[in-house]
Amino acid sequence: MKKYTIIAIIFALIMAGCSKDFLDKEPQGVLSTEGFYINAENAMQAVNCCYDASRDAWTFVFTLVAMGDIASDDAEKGGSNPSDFFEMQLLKDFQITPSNWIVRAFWANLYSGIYRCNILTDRVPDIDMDAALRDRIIGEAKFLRALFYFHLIRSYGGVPLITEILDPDDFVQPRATAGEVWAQIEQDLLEAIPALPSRLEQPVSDYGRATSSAAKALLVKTYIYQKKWQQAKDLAKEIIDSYEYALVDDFASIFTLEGEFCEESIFEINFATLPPYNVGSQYMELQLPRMFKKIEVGTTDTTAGVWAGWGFNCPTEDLVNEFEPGDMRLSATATFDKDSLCTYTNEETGKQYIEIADNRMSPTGMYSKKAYVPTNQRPQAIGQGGGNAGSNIRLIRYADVLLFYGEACMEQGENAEARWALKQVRNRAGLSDYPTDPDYADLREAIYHERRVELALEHHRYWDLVRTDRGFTLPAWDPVKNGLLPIPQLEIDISQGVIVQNPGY
Amino acid sequence: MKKKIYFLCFMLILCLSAYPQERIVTGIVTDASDGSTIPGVNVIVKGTLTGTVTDVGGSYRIAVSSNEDILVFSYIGYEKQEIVVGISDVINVSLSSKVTSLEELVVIGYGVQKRDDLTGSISSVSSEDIRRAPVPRLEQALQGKAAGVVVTQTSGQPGAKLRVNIRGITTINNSDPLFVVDGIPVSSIDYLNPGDVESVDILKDASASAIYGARGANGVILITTRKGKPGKATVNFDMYYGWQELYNPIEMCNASEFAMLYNEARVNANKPPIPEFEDFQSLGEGTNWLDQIKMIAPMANYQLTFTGGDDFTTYNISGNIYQQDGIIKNSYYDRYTIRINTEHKIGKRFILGENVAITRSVARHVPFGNIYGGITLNALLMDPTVPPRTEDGNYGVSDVLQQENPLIWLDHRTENKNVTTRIVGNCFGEYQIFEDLKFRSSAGIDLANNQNKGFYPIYFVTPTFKNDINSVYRDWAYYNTWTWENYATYSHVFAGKHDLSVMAGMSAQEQKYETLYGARKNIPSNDPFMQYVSAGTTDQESSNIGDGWSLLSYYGRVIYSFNNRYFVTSSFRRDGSSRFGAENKWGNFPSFSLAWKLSNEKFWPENKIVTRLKLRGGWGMLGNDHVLRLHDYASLIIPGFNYAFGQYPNEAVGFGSYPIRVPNPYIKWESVKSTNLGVDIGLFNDRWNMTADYFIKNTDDMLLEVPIPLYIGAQPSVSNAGSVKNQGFEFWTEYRRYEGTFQYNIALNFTIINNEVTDLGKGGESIAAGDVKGRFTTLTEIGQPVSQFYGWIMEGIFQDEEEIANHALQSNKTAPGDIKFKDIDGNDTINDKDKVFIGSPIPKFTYGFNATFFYKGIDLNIFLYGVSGNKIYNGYRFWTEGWGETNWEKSMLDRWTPENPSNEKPRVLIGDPNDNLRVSTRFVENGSYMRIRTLTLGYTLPEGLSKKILLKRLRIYFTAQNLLTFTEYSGFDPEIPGSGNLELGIDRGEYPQPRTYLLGLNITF
Repeated sequence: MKKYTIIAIIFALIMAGCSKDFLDKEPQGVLSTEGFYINAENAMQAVNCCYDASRDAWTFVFTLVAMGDIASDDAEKGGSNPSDFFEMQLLKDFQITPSNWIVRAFWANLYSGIYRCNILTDRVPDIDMDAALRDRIIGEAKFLRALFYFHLIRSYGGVPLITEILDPDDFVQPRATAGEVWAQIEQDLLEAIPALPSRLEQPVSDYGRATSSAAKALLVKTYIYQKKWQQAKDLAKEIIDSYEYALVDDFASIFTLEGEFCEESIFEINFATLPPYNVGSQYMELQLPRMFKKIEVGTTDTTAGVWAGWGFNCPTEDLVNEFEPGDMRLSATATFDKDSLCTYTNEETGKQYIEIADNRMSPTGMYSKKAYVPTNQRPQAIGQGGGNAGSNIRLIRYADVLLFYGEACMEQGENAEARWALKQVRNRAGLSDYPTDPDYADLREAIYHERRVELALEHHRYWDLVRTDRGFTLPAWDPVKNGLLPIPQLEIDISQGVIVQNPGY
Repeated sequence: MKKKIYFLCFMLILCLSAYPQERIVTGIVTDASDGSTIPGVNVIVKGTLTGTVTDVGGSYRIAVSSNEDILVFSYIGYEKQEIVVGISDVINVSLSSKVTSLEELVVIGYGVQKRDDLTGSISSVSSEDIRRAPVPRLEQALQGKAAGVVVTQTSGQPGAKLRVNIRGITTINNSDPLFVVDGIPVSSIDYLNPGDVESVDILKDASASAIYGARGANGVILITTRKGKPGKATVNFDMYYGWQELYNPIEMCNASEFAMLYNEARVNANKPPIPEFEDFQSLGEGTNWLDQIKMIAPMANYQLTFTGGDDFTTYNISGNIYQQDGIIKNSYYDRYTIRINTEHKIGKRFILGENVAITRSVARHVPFGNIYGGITLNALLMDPTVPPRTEDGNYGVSDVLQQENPLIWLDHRTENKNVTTRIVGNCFGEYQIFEDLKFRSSAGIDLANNQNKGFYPIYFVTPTFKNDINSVYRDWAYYNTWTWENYATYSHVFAGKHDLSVMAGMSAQEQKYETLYGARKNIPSNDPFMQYVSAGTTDQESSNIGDGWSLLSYYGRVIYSFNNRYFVTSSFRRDGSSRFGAENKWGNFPSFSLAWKLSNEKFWPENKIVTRLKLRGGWGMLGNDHVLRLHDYASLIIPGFNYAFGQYPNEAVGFGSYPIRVPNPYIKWESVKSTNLGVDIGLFNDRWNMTADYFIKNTDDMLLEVPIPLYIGAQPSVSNAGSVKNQGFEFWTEYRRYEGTFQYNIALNFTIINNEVTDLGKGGESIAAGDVKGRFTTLTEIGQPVSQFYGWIMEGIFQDEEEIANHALQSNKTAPGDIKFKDIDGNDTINDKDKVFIGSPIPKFTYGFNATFFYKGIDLNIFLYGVSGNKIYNGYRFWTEGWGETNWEKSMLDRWTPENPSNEKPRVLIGDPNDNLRVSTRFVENGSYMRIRTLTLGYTLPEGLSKKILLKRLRIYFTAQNLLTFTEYSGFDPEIPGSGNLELGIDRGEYPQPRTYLLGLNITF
């Protein structure tokens, strides 16, 4: 019997050794949802990741350049050769297909941002924390959700409207109508406005976060796109009368790193070079000329071209011709071959160099000046790849709101107010109150002209043409597609036809 | 209570204790055919654990307790003999040689069984097979030796891994088999020295491998390492030294040919020709860049083994050094192994032992096989008009191509080292509770530490080929796995006819791992003594992650046979795994199999032709627990979604995180249901044996990342969605003649497998993979085998403008000399809808042939291996036949020109407006090959002669590996595994496999 006792003891030990939680392996070094969303720090992380969604290359950085400018008459694609990012050319030629990956990436990134906002609005309200901060955070998420939906609707039309966390069984959703999406955007912004601080209330360290005025400005834009002129006019007037913003004197300074979040800036996508954190973008690298020449000061010796950026978004002759003589904005918009761009000192040798434009690789002979960053401020110069640069996207400027105000007034027949707005923008550029060109005798044309030159290469042009029914002026315009992108093919396949493709694809 | 301590105390150090025996019997064992003594014969007292082995002179000495004891003499290749002790103290025995291996014991997992009694499908590879053709990794020794087991070398890089596939590709995920070494499952066997391996048994069908339950779906490879045998201590010294060479270089254009083609390509693209290339003939041969990076590489292996023991303790202790340089400069792999296997008997009923291996490997790799190619590709593409070095000693640099001089790469970008230290071992105790019941408990550990270091120095060759900022990194990983296995076995023969064996047990296994990574830039100097992370001054990066898994299992098996005619095996395993959510942690894996030995029936006519006939059939359920990520069942908060706030230049990081995946709490293992039907036939007194098996393996619940709508905004988790079906036929036959002076055995096996994907989850989205320069080359689609090449069909070359105008539109810039692609849908445009399946990388047929001959001390072994019916996507030809910014393959001299209206090779061109380089049949080549994998010629000195030089045995041999390969494939080597089950058979310019010549010695002292 002794033997059996031994066996019994052994097996008892085995059983005891393998207690129930032996098979419960908690993930290491990572929280699960149940342990998160419990304090203010978590809420802050939740909202920060919503902002991060706007940082991905194909959320705004590449897409705004590709659609806003390259697809319009303001810019040619550029790059190293015609096949470099030829998807951008397909966009311009209205040849993009539903299975093209950039169609998918833009859509997926915007929805990734919406998902992060939805999680926040689902979880953060239950967190026990400072109520004002919590409301602000929720307000920021609603602003961002509206921003993401705004970009979806103007690029794809009515899209699936998701504002909560869905159960996997409910994943298949039809497309909402454009009206439903616009209504959701308006609702989110109206709810965000009271929860957000004004620009003056916002500490500098919070720059980059949404303000109440940013929400209002986006709402103005939302009204304009829906041709709700009266509401647009009233809300734009509210922003103007708040005196939070003013046009800065030096137009070119807006587009320098020092000009970020200047008095004129209402909302920017904020990037920074902060190694080891990846919080920069390729916004600068994408548009920076492919090469420069550098000349040592006091010599005539030119080295061969110095490789720099990727050289996309090359302004067209057509855009340059749009500028009136004496418009100070032209030199701040495009660089021309052999322009002196900056002077800098090599810190090791102490020698001074001038950076000269070498635009041979540009299909138009020009590059964007608005995206230009001087040598010593470029991340390569400080040991970082150009892909992690800090140049911000100026998403909404005061001049944009002024011109929207003017447009809304004009559409309501209030021409004096419209001319007032036009005068503000033009005088800053060193121009007379109204265009001298007889082509712009019409106030509408004058406002459209002003939008084009004021906001050139800031990624508004394509959608401005489409929303004002002038898309047909683009050479490859397809009236059936009507300026919309195709819905990604994957959505149609997975939903087994519940999601319907846009016309023309 | 003393015995209880034996059970629980698992120690490496053994203690001796002796019990007096009643009586000693001695004798000599000889070969019945020629009277020579046979060393190494097993002698045991039947029904006990008492046993010994004859020494080198064939003599033995064993303790018996009574005159009724029966001594059993057995030795591989000889008929077993049983002799009742009686009163004599000296028992001399002569054994007659046997022609079958049917008496051999096969390791079946938690036990052994006679080969003749198997009901499932198990292949075995013996140590003789392994040692006859020396290889550095055990998997190589299995190639072509067992039907249904496909082994593919992933690369010629020293120390490279191998792919092992047993009975088809059961899943698009990891389909590696489970490796079990001395009863303990291990994650990989790269630590094993093949010289230490005694036998390999491969469980192929479900009824055999279901005892390994949730990890048995891809088959189980059971490895037994060499154990000591009682007898006089012997010392073996085995070594070989060899030379490896690159034997099938890809022929590239020489300098004058390149210059001619390059200028032609420029003119075709409306670019001015290069003036220096106008007189191309004067440029001559130029540089053969492949010659610049390759070398004749040495390799060496040394092994010293001490083995022996007495009635109580046996030991086998070995040390091994393996060193191999690569045929591409700057690559090597060295491995050092120590193994200690001992067994110790305490009293009559208790055995205690351990098997431990300590391995350290050091490797340096040159980069290979990614989508942008590696260093061989670089050498193929480099401008041949450039000298390796200029007269003033600088690196030659091309003025026309962007290609880097490969010597720059070799000298500055291969500073890396991988050091792996691994300790794998187990201790076991086995107690015979009473005669028929045994209990065994073993505890195993597997500790692995992997260290990678890399350094990227500052150098300057030209403004393009330079590195301004040096950097250094260290990447350490630590794996700790333990296993505890306990099982009891009861065996008894009832009434002389009913043979019953019952096994039941449990096991627990747990792994934890952690990685630590650090890197910095700007190290003050490039000197080796400064290549440490702390020496760097900027850009510090670090990371540290960890995770783990556990498995708890209960299992049992019943083996029953009646009268040596009817055999039944049934097993059951219940596995609980931490890899799955609470809902699906546990799974049950049953199996059932039958065998019928017709030849033992009374009605079977006595004859000398068919002496053995057995039918087998079995069914079982298996699992595969290789999950893509460990915690997809939970919703995890992933950090790193950060954003900058504040104004330039004072921005600060705001940290962000969120659950990026939709969790799937229902994840469970992939399940495989497998059915096997087989027949074993023995002819001419079992001199000629054959085995044939037909099997069906249905995989369900295959883990897939089934896409969810993008508008959900989150990443999908894996879900159990796909299905794959494999069915096949395998055949093995062997003819042995082990008598007389001319002895030989000849074995042949082949396997036919059909694979089909039957489900890919909701929506059935096909999976594109196999990126070659940004283009997917394979598609896995329902109704097709996995990973089929997918693209356009090349119809020929456009000869003139008229032909272009009459064909579907390909591009506005298509010109004569461009490739004509087939317009499948007839819509007059070549687009995505004209893509079709253009070939399968999966061989329809794989085979191995192995023959060994012995004649008066001479042994000759030849081993052939081949596959057929598969295609290879020759990805590197994307560069070597196109692009225009690289050198061309010599075959492009036959390009299309107006004077040479080729229909095979397009015109040369800078750029590719017609997209001649698209994925098409142009790059799909026949991947069939047959290879003389090894050829070995050995000679063993006659005993008398070796004794004169004080050696027991001396054998010298010569081996050639990869001596000849018969193939139509144009690349380095047709053995192309691809990098995963979704992208098989893609050649991205791999590290070529060497041809090797070895000289070896086996000495027994």
